[in-house]
Amino acid sequence: MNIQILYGTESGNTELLAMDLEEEIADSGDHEVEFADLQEYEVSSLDSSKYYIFACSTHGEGELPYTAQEFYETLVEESPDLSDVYYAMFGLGDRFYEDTYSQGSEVLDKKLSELGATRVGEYGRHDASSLEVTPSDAALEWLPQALAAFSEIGEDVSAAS
Amino acid sequence: MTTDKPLQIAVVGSGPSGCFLAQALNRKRPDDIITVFDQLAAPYGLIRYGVATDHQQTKSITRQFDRLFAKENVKFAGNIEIGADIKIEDLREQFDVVALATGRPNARQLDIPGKDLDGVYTAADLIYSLNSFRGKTDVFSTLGEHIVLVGGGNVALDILRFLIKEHTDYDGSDVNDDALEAYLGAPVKTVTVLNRSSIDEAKSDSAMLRELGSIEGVRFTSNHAPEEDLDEKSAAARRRSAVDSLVDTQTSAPRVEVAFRFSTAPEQFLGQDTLEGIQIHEAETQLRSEIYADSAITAVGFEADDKSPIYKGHEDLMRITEDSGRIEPGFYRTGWLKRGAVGTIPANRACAQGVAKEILADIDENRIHDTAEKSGLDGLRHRLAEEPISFSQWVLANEKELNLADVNRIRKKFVGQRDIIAQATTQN
Repeated sequence: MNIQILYGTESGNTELLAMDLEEEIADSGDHEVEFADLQEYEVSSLDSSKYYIFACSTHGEGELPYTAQEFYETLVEESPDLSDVYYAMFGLGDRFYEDTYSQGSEVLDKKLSELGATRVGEYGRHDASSLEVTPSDAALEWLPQALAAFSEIGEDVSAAS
Repeated sequence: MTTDKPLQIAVVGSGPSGCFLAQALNRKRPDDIITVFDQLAAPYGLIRYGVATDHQQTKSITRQFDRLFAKENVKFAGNIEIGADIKIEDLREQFDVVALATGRPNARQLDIPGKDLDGVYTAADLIYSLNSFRGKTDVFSTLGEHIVLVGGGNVALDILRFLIKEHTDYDGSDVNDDALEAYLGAPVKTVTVLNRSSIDEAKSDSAMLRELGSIEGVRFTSNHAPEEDLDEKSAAARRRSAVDSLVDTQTSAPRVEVAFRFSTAPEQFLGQDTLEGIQIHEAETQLRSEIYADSAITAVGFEADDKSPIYKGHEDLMRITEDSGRIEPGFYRTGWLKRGAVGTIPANRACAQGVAKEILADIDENRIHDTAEKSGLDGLRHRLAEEPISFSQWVLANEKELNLADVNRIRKKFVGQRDIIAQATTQN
């Protein structure tokens, strides 16, 4: 499979997580993988040739991190048809803010779904107020089921690539 | 300059800005040797000594930098004061690129009559002790029952949180327990938070205000008038909503009362030798009044350490600019030193990434003209009385701090730099 990891971050912690996911997937030797900052990724590049892993933090009271805002606004303005896009979502937040826990990623997830993209696997989450588990460890534990979910989608998508 | 040989890059200051700059440069030029200097023996500056002890999730960004310093080409040189141990001119002679990220660590004084009275403190007096930067804890037992907190930003809210929290609210923190115990032996009964700005122009983040709501036994009041015509997504509307929900929370028999007073300026600290009260002026009513206070804590910003030898003869290095981080090709500033003490860690990450782009462009476009061979840190060792603290030495001290942590604490910090040096340079 071709996997594209895309991350939105405020403090760089989600970037670190994305790099760890990339390393884990690359080391397995089973898939092609790249990672990119959402602020440097074109919405028009989203297509069926890859599976996408989004990792996104939460800013303030449930807002998108600043590095994800332009990507999100482009989705809103251009309303691209994403019906052949499959993705997995990993959100970071602080459970302390009950009402808005990991909502940054949910803002993005909702928009991707509205545009026809399909989320697969479990919605991954990391709670920053739990200091026992690092975001990277939580994401690495979540990763295998996301990869399994991609492979279950079937050969029809992979065949297109 | 030929860009095929590895360059020697010096970053002065290992706080968030210096580390984010080193990180951005290392990503694009992994073969260059980057040395991050710090006048302290421990790395991470503001993250270790400025971020509140109960905000460990913010401090956890050090994981990124632990990873950075684990790279062979990224070195930490602690306990080296640029300007004193090494002159800045000598540093520039041995490095192709020098970038200053020395921050603004000194509390700004509120310049009103009575500012030197006993009982008038700055936020830094508390924060640096709670973070074990200093061992001094006597201030904590003398704050008294009635405290006026001056300032409307996030640092003021850090102080407010400290004043109204109880023991169990520090679980998982690395607070200095001597300071905490000294304070909780005689904690505050009333806090008046004076903010010169209106609630709509206050500098605090609404998430920080909401966080106050999780603390038990506190009654909040506020003097702000309702305002209906605000975009509910604006920062002002979110801030109003956060304060309103604090005020609306029913608290029977509160331990502490917190009164937010917006659009209210302190004009004078009152008292002979010791603070007795504060004269205030309310913008809306134009009324002057006096409020009683056992002590006052000001949180009105931070400024450069202008006595630091690094700025001697180079005072213009402290000038604030929103423009380029380039002083001249090969010499740069980033973070609070460049921008002034405003903006959160993410804002300074963005700043460092911008300055890194300027540096990379200057390298790629051959604007750095001094092409002599550079020796980096090795070329300066003969000038040093003591070997710098390396990152692996710091790791040794760090592990000891983690191992020494008491129940319900994430670490127990060594107080003072001499102790850190001793722990970093001995195996046991």
